[in-house]
Amino acid sequence: MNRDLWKHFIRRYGTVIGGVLIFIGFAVTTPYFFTFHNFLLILKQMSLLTIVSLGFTFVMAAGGFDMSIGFAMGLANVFLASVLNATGSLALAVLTALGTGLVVGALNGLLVAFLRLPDFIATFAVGSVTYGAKMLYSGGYPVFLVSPPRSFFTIGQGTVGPVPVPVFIMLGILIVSLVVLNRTKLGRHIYAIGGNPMAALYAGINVRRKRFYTFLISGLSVGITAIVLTSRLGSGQPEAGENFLLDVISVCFLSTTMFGEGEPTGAGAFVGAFIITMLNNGLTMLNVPYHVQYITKGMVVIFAVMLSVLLGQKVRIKFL
Amino acid sequence: MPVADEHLVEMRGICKRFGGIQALLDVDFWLDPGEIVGLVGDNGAGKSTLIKILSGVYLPDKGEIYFQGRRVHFESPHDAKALGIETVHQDRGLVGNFDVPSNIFLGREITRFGLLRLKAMEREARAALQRLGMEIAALRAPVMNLSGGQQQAVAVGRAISTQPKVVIMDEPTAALAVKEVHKVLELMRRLKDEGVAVVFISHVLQEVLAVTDRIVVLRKGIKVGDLPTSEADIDLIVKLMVGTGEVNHGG
Ligand SMILES: Nc1ncnc2c1ncn2[C@@H]1O[C@H](COP(=O)(O)OP(=O)(O)O)[C@@H](O)[C@H]1O
Ligand SMILES: [Mg+2]
Repeated sequence: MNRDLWKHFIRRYGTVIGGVLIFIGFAVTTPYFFTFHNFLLILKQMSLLTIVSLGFTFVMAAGGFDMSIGFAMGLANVFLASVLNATGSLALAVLTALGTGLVVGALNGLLVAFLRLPDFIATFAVGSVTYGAKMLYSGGYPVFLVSPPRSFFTIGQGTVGPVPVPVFIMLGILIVSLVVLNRTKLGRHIYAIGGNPMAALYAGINVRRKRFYTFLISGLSVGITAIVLTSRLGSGQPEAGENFLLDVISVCFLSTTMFGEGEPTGAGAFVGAFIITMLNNGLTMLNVPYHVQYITKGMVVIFAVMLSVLLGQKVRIKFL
Repeated sequence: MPVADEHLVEMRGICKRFGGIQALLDVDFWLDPGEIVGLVGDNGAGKSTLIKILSGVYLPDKGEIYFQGRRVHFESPHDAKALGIETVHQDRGLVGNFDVPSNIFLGREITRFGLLRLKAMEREARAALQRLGMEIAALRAPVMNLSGGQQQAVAVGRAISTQPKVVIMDEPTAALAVKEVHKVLELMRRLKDEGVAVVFISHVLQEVLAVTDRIVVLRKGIKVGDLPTSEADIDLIVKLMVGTGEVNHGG
């Protein structure tokens, strides 16, 4: 292979190869990492991160950013738990969580797509409003479930054979995201808006409406995640999900460096979430302190992005 | 002027301001089927602004647009396209990391049960370019990897593959090789023969004189000339573009 081909190959698959190397590293240094049981555990641990990252991928593919996801999730958690306690209705509780995510998404979309506020500022401000709302509502305390229907726990804690239910939810949403992003007009238009908004406008695409949709989708993914999270924890935690933002951004940055596309993809979100979760999982097995893991994750992202930039990949991330 | 049905397109009294800049002031502009109209003027004269209003990108501050005698309002490029007004913008309007078929079918993708028919779009894109006499080997490559001429071909191919009634080309020949320029001019003649109204913007007055039926001159947002090409020459046009002359025929 000549030098250009190598460059091309590394650019396309460098991040994936890096992930495989990290995988091998953990497999060699810890006894329990490379087991079927741990593989299922990683899939389960990554499921929520993957779902939110997929939602975020829509926003980012259209050239946007959503800072509100972590705070929105907490709000959905406590609302869901309260409605479940008050009504005992699983359907109503689920709708409440989805509705909360959608309302926050719609607010973001309204400000960014229609009122044309810069997305960082607008979604950051919406996040702040959301944070205040959930703290006011919950007083910062979890909303414990009083007598939830047993079926509610199936969502976050159940298994089908050896496979946890959240893994199925994740795979379902992955498939839907892949189809929408890669095989529908909506997905095509979203990528066009991210690639060249003027070209999208000239082509007769309703740019504002489609940017609005991306924030709705992001909000919806947050609502779905809140359902699984609250089911897993058995209570509506106002602060659960706050640290998601960092991981989701890491995943989407990795996704952007992957497959040489220079833009976030559904497959990239999945692989990126796997890599980030595997890092958490492996480092925990190596008894690395929890907070050191954040440093490691940050370095991995920096390394991946740096490598693609050095290799001439045009990474379309706003502040790069 | 109560009726405006003698022209395919008629723009009347168009005004457009950008902050402190009066980009267009009270401009009248019309098009008939089967004519090629050259739109010329110095940089910043307002040519692109005028055609962006006609293609639905900008709303005019004042003025009316009639299409086949009917008053129309373009809220977006979609509305203009719906009437058969297609535009090749000055910046080409291509998505760099999309391949050729994706660019040609952008905004009007072929789907079945809501899913893109990638193969069908590739086939039709190839056919459309072939009809234009444009051969692009790397159809699946991102268009940013194509040469300027090939990118222009994609942009033009997209505009005319929809059976439009009006084709607007904003500096389509800039940065093209001589051979490619001739292809574009030839294409405009073919469109004219098919009864399409063509707007041609160019800084190369020889090209404009060679291919157009009528020339409209803008200077600092004001229409200062509208004359049959047969009565025009380079000196006159230049004088109108930069000087103090004013010529208006017909109406
Ligand atoms: N979107 C815009 N915002 C602000 N000013 C603009 C915009 N578009 C055009 N202008 C200004 O309007 C004038 C006419 O521009 P334009 O129509 O592009 O001229 P031309 O195409 O004839 O070179 C110029 O002074 C230009 O700077
Ligand atoms: Mg111009």
